[in-house]
Amino acid sequence: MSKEKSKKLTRYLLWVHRYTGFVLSLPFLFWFLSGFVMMYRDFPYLGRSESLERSEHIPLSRAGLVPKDLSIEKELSQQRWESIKVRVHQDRPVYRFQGGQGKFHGFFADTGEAVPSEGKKEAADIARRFMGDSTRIARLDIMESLDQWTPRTRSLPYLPAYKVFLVDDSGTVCYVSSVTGEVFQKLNRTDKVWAWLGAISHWIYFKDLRIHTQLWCDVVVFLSIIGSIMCLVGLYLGTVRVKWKNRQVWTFSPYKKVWFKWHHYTGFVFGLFTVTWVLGGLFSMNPWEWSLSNSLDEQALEIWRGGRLAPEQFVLAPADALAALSEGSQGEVSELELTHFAGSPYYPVWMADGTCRLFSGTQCSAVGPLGTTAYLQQVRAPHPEAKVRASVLTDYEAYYYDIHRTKPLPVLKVDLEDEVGTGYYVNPGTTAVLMKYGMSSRINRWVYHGLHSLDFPGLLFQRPLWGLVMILLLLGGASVSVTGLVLTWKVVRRKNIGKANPKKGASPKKGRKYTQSALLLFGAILYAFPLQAAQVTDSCTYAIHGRIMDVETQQPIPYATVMVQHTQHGVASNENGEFLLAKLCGTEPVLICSSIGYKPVVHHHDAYHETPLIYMAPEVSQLESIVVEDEATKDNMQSMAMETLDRTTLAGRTTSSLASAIADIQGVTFASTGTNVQLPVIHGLYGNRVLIVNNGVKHGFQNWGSDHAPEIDISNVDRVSVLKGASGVRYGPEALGGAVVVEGHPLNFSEKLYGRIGTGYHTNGKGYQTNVHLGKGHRKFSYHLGANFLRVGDRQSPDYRLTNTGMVEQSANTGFRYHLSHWDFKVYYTYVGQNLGLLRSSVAESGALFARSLSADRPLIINDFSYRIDEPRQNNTHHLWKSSIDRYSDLGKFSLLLSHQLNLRREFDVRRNADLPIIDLDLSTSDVQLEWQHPSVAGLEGTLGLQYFYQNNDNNPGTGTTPFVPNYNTRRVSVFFMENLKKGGNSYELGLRLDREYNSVRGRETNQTIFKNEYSFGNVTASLGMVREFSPHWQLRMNIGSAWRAPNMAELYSFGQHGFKTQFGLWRYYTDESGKLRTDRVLSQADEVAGPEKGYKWINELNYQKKGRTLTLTAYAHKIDNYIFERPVAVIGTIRGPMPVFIHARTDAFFTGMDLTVSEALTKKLKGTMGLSYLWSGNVSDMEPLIYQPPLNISADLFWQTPVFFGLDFSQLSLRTSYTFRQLRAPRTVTPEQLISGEVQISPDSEIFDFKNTPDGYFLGTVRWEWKIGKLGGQLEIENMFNIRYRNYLNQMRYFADEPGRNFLFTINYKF
Amino acid sequence: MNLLKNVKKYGMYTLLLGAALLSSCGDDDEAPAKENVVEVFTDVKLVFTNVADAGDVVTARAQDLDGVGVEELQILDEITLTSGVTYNLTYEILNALDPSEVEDIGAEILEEDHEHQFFFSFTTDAFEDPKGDGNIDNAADKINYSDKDEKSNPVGLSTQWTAGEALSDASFRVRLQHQPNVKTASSSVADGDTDFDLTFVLNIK
Repeated sequence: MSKEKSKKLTRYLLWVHRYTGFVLSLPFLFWFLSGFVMMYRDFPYLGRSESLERSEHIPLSRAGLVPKDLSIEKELSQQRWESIKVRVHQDRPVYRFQGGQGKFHGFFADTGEAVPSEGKKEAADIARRFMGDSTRIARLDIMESLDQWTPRTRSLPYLPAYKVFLVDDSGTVCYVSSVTGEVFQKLNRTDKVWAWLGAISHWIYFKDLRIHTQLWCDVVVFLSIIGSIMCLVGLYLGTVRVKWKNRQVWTFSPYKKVWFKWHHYTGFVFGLFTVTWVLGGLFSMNPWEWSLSNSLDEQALEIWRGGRLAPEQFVLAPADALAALSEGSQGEVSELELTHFAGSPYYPVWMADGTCRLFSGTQCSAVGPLGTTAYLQQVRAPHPEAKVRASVLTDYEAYYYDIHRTKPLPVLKVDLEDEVGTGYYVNPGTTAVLMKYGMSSRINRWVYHGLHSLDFPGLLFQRPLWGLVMILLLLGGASVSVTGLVLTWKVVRRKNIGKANPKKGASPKKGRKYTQSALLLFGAILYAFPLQAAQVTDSCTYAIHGRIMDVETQQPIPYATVMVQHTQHGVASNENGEFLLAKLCGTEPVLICSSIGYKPVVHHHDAYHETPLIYMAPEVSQLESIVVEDEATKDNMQSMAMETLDRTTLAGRTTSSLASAIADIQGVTFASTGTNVQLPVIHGLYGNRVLIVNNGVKHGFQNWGSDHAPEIDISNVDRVSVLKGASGVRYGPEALGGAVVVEGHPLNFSEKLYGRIGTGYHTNGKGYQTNVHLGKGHRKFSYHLGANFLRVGDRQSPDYRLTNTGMVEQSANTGFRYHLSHWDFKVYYTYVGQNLGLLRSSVAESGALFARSLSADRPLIINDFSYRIDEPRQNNTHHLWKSSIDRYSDLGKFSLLLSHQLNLRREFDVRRNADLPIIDLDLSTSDVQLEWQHPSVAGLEGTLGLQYFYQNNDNNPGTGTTPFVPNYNTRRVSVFFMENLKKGGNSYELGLRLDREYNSVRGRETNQTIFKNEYSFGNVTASLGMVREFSPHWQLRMNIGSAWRAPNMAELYSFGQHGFKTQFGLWRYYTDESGKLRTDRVLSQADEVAGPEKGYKWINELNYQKKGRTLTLTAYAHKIDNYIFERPVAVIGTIRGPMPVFIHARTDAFFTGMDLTVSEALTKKLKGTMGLSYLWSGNVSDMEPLIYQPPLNISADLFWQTPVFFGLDFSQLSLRTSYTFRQLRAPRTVTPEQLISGEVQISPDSEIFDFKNTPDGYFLGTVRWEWKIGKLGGQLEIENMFNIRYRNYLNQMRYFADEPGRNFLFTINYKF
Repeated sequence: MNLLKNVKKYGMYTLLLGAALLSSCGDDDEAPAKENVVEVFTDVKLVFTNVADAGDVVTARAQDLDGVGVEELQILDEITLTSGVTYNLTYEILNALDPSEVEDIGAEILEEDHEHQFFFSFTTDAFEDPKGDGNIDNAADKINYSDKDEKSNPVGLSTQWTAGEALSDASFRVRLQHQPNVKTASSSVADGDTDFDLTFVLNIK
């Protein structure tokens, strides 16, 4: 090999060693450390000898039933039996048959009855007998699946079982099988600790992995193969790199750095043992079954036994067969087996002391150990040609040994003189073949046991010596791993500090790319070890081209300075606000921008947003200076109409719900159930047709009906964007009507410690609120903490108290972000806890009361003001954990996002058992998203994504009512791409997505019968759009997109009474031949294909922007097939009197409408805005209106920046007025009285109706004054300032009460 | 400083790993637990027992066999009393949704008698005693309650009726109100929620 080639090979091998080492150094260290423990502590099994010793003795005299008779009576002879044993069960002998699949069958050996399965009491009894009479039992758990201590599938036949926890100091647990009544596992706390430190870590014996035997094998084999490669390569490198620098001074290692040197030294010395260990570990798994098993296979066993296990051949009952056993020792038999040898039935008998005796199954005499000739003959049967050699072993030897000395002795060893060197080890006492060796198994014995456990004869039983050798070598191996681990860590640190020596990393460019993609894979697999290869940084040639603008006037700021932090390097912007900062040495400098009269801004630059747009805020402004790295819409379809509310807008609304905060946007409003439960409505759609994206993941909550709002606290939110188009491609199902994208704190870098403390009070409901936020951005690390508390009492409408409308909400959030060059890591957590009261008078337990509530002017129950929250109420908790890794490279941006959400919802209704929740659901949601944002290629940018979504809903027991929605599991796999082509000022977009969703449902009918269903949906979603710039002032966005949604569980399965309604899902009712509504069975896809909702939305947005004048016009048309909606259908007679019934129905629906916003800066200090939103919607199959649709709304706002006074820095007065019209396109009204009296007859096919007329139009006015002195700011607001009495059509409570009246709101906050 | 840095870094990895572990969650395929459904009435039986002759019993039943399902209420029997005879009216109230676990709701009502009251209405002067048309329209109207709760307010699990002149196709309506915290001596059908509301055909011979 030429020198050049050999160098290349070495470099290649170094690369392999390095990256396999990155991944495996930690697992290797674990293997070595747990190896120490493994020397002395095995996985805790209940040993056979202990089991025999502790077992009760078989009362032989009662085992009088002849197996032959039993076999005939129970027809057992036709089946294949793995084993047949006689054990004891409650002082009675029992035949225990184990069948082909491991299934146990038990029959009493005296009467032949089947043995019943054990109850709790019996299990406790068995454990007590097993452990000794003085044992006390602490507790007994039912065990229905394998656990960490019984992780192998061979324990399955014992289930269900009982875990019996004993009262003792060591925390002993006995596992008692309810099937066999046997104790099959026993361990204590110490065993568990050692098992975790030893066997579980060493064997990767985690239950969830281990119970999937094949997968577990594959994982171990895979890791050990990679490990072997790593070690072998390392060994080779360690050898070739030994250097004799000059003949006098032996330098050995070429490495100068201490850890490299030590890794080389330790590897050189102990590398060989590391290789043998990992290879031994590999062979212990018997990969590809290269070695034969050491036990006889089924066929060989049949030859040995002379037929299969046949109980009918035993003509003597154990009692008679064992009569020869002297009376005295009869009581000490622990176990009896039924077996055959050479065609004759035998009873091998185990005594309590572990010894064994043999009895014939046909003659009344003890046979004693059979002669050697008999065994020889049987060994020779399958090998008639071979010569055999027999010897009796009285001690262990190289192949037959046991470190714990529990294997039986003496044994008969029979060697065949054939080419593979077959050998048999037979226990003459039981006729059983203990072991069989072939060539491969002999090799395996040496490779695995020899090299892995060092159990060489001569060493194994020299205890202290064996231990010393083992410990020495393990220490050596551990030190190789530790030095490797340190090297791994060092590289992480080096990359992190970003001071890679530019000379050193000069590897070929192509190789670098491979490195990066390979690494990305490793990073994705291991997640915790994201590293990257040496990155070439061209020295001091990088440049940034940016622009500086005034955030308020949107005008460029000339002559602003841009400096690189901690240097004298900087430039000033030109007249157009543009700057070019060249000759930068790194790609990620920190820039400081400043200009007189503006708040300075610190910007942490990264290489992938080369043209930052820096918005500076005037010093007096409420706004902050910000840097826009890229268009925020990049993540979404850019052609889609979108509006965003930022922190500044949200800060004044900390007591509002998310939905009401965004409702000022035209085309967006909210539907509600009282003041505490509000959900966003986009263009007439809400609930599960508007996707709530919470920190990048679908907010996983009980999103059905209009009485469940997303558990999101606005004070945890930094930005909210509303996408008005069908966003199915980007966000998946449910984004039919649009999406509300909620983002948490951005966690910017290079921000000094900042904080915000705010508090507020509002008079209506005497609500008070306080929030705290704190954070800091270091150069590479930033964090943020926030918490909020809000409490409101009963609110007040202009005329009366709204009893039980109080609420309490507490929330917290925290986020961390860490940056390595080109890597970004984020972890985020939010918690929201709520106790939401609903208007007391909204719950009517009977139809008559409902009718009375509807017609009453005032709610029927009005109490004095209180903070108390009684029924009806909702108690919700939501946790969201999210972590994400972003990788920026020449290949674009890769993102991996993992999230988990837990949503606990308990709803309490007014009812006899009001203290029991009527709905008690735990919903957990997991989400994995992998995305690749590819770099721009000829103006083409795009994203490719993969998503996995999993949801598990469980009803908690104890509601005292049939579950309203069933238990279910939903899994969804999705893949999507979006491409955007930019040409001049125009851009064109295309997006496509495939989803496949699987559902598994388990519920209860009213008579508590279980029903189950499994079904799946799939869909293709597409989106097409363009953005056209007619002139610098006029822009048109056009998007046509589809989205889909699988019917919600509540839409399919809801059943029963909730609030004043009785509701039935699509699969819970049907109409019989006579047209009558029936609910007596649960339907499924076989009865009615409830296909997914499919929507197609065409949305156009025209934008005009010039100086202080803007105009936005949005027009849309939206068709939804299979639109599922809830409608009143009847008032039925029940024992309680007539009740209103709602069903879910399907139709095709059509929505069209427009939103308009015009704003104009009248003077420099005065700005006016006008808005209008109109929606027309209808059920186009039946040509009738839809129910609960938002009416026409117009609004006008005025903002006046007043002259400052009292030393204020800033003061702004704003006025918002709006008029909401009466909804004229609404269903007819049929009152409950008309239904009860039978005046109007309704069937599921009748025209839709509502119980009450739509409310009249209303005018609302809000005035707000914002002020600021230095770091202190605040606002005073009067909502509904004219104290108007009104009802909102989209509020479910409008049947019962008016909306709240005038409200004075004070907030004050301090920022530092 | 170095230590702080390391703590931060390790903390990061731990958190990431933690989140990854949290994301992997167990599966289950269990159905919701069996619920002992409360406050559902499926069977109500009116039992009129002749005060003078315990063997003379008139019963009338009403059923709603599917509870919250849409199956309509069925009145199974007419009430036929004998003119001039005085009866004691009691009830058998059951939840028989789950045939293996039939529940006696009557016992529950007795336990919570301070939250319940029965109200009645009937064809005017169908009874000799009480006269009139019952207390559903006007709570102060006379009904012969034979039982009282701990606050000495009437309950109605037991009431006395003396049948009037012979008539047929008259009506007899009985309504049980659940009145937690609102039951007083003067409370009416307007207070609380209705547990059941049944109208039977009444004949007197």
